[in-house]
Amino acid sequence: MIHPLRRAVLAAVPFSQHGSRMLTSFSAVGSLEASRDGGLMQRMARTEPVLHLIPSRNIHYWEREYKEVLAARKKKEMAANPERYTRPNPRYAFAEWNYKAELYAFGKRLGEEFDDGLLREALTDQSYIHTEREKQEKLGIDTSALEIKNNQELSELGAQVTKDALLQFFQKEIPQFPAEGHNALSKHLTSQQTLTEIATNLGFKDIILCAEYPPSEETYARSFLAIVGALQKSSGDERVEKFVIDFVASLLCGKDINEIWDVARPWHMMVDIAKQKGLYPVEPRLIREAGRNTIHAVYVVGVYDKDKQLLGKGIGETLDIAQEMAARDVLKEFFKTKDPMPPFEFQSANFPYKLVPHVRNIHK
Amino acid sequence: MSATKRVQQWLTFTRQWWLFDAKWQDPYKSATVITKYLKGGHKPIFGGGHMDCGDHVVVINSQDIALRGGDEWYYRVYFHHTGYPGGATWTKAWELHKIDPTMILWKACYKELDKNWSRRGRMLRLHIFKDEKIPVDIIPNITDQIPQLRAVPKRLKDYSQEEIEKFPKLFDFPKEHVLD
Repeated sequence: MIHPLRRAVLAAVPFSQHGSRMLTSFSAVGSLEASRDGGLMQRMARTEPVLHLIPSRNIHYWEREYKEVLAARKKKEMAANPERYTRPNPRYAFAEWNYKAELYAFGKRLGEEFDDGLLREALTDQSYIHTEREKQEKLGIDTSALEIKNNQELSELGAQVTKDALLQFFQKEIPQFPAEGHNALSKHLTSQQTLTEIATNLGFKDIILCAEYPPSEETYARSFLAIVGALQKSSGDERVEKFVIDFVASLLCGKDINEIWDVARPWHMMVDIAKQKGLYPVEPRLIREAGRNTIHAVYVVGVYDKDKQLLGKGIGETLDIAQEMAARDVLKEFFKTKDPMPPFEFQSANFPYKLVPHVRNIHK
Repeated sequence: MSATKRVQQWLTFTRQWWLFDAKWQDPYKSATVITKYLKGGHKPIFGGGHMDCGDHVVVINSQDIALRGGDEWYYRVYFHHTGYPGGATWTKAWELHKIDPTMILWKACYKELDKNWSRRGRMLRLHIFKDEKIPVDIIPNITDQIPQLRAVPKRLKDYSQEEIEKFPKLFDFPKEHVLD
């Protein structure tokens, strides 16, 4: 198959000039009359030969060995100098970075009204102040007048505010879940890992002022909590509660809350609650089994209350495990957190539109 | 994976044990049912022959299988070749059944399964016994039974004398009539 461009060239060149020299270079084409094609051939002749524009889908056998050597050298060098090839490229190091404008836009992107000074303070890490001071001292500037506040105080305030808002939210949404479980959920949501996930998704990476890049998990978490603290000081309690529910509590979507709070001794806890509810004595019974004498044995244990009503079922490869899982199942029944759970209602009561009109909240 | 999800997975892929009574059943028609269970085709998670979700099947009374009417015991022939010249043998069904009463059902299931590497593994989950005597370690494994293709009819000799006398009659034979 001849490429269309090459076919055009071959048609334009007199037959006597066809030959091996023709295929590798278009120097011969330059001698053609410019008037016949408006100088197109002359322009093409100045560039690379057209045949080279056609990509090859294979590696030629005579190039292969050479390319392998190059690849091996590059791999070796990358292994020897990893920092050269994985160098961070912070956005703030670019020449046209305008921190003030970015800070303003960041506040607006969150959809909140921040006090400018508080927002800047919330995103200033202690390490940044150290490095700034060192820089200025090197230049011989007196740093005693340097007044930059770090985000430590704001983050402490933010941690308290976040915890309060979350516990209030859980009290409204899953009231049957014990206080211990509420605390565990709150601890999970305010862990460094979770807060880092939130902060990175909100674009904190380049806007935090800190010495290291990218920021550590600790810095992310502290900065996010400081933002919550700054919002509390700027806009008040009502706004900050909505902010926490929108950005922190919503991370529970798609997660199993029974998995987050791990009950250490489920059977004992189940018995205690059954006594309070007047269901004691409870009794575990084997209701299904298969392959008892094989390594694939499976047992299904049911827990029955004093009226011989089934409270829950558990599966396990041994009877002990099945009984424990049955206790967990009963606890989920008690706490109203059995899968599938109805979704949390994140919107407030006075929100003008019902976002999910068909969902019924069974906890009320 | 959480504890709940782990045991759910364990239960989903557990291997059940099924009992099938081959008494007076056609081995080739039974094989289509038995192999469905060996492949796991009766399960909602079954997604094709490549899936390893088959169950165990325990077949009892294989000595009482019923080949089709007429003389199938005489015209059904099992071919074997030793690989040496003149090593071909043709064994009739009644001869094979005499040698090993589990063999016809085994071969019927083997022929019915997909012809690939999973066949041997699936055949290992088929346990055929010639009568109702099953090893004691297999009995507790069994969870359920596969219904027979045809219900075994009750023979006249299985009815008690009282039941026979109670059965409504249109007329009484005269005393002089000799029945047997």
